[in-house]
Amino acid sequence: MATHEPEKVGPPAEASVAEPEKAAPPPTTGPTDYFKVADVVLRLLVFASALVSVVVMSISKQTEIVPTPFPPYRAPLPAKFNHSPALIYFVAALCVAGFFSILTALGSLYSLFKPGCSAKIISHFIIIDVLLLGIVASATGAAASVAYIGLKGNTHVGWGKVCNMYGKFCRYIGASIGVSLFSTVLLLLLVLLSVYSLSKKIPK
Amino acid sequence: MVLRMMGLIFTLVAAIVAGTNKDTQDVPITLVDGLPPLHLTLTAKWNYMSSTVYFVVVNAIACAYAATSMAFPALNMGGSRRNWTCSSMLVSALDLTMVALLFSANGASAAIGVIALNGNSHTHWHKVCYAFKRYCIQGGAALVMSMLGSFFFLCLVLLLPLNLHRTASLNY
Repeated sequence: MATHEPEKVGPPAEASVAEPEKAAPPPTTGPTDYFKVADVVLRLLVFASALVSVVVMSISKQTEIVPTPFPPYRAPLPAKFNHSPALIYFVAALCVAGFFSILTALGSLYSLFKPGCSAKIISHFIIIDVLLLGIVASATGAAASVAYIGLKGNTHVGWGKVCNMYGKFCRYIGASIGVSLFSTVLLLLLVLLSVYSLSKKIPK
Repeated sequence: MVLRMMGLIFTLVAAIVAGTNKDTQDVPITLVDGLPPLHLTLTAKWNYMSSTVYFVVVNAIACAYAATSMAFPALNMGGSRRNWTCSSMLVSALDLTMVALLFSANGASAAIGVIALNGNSHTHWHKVCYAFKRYCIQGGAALVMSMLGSFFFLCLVLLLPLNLHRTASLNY
């Protein structure tokens, strides 16, 4: 009997309180939920593009028959990404970026389901993302400069073109660099999104 | 504010040092062993290589941006510290793009420098730095200056979450 009375009093009070409560949460929690979902999606996209870049660069091996000045006058010459230190750095940097992006994606998924101390997590992720941006941007720049010389050659220094012989190799490397440029832009957007959502948490 | 000034100084120095990089040398080229080497007067300039051009251009852009964006913190100091306006968002977005561009230019210049130093046997790209020592040393110095400048821009961007977190936690 004692337990039934609070239950009868409870529901009407809850019904009167629930309506203003229903009106209040959606405007405040709606936008931040979208930010968190967009955050997770962007991080997964960064991981995917880093993975694609690494894989495409790694499978870009091409062997061509080139003329040699001595017998047998024709020899197969392979072109691999590990012939150039800049491309090795590119692969290593994107592996690191992919690893950290999957870690931060898992972290932001966790903060999506448990909205506890999300401000602290966001500020840590901003730091990680900015450092990743620097690393991926430098790797893209290094690989792009080497690829550009391979494409056009440089007459002043006496460095010849490579891409007229190795078509598939150059196409794969170009695609890999394009995808890593896309991931650089994504990382930039991620940091801006995180900064914006962190600034929203400051009560005015 | 101080960080922007330091970033400006370092990128300016890097752009100037890389932009005045010119070296004319008498290079002995040995075509056939046994014969005396052929002496050719060759010039190495910064605008012969597209990645050094990119390096100089990006450093100049970063320097100009640091100069123009020094006005923003001065304007914001007058108002309340807790105001996070659209202009602050724009400044932080531009800071980020500057960081990305500077790092990519550093990477490009470093990659070309490594090839010029060591050569690449697989693609038959020969070493260049044994002949143009001053050019390579000056290019290396410009790279170091640019790295320091980009480090200061990075610190600018890393201060953002720290400030925001401190402001957010002060209010709770």
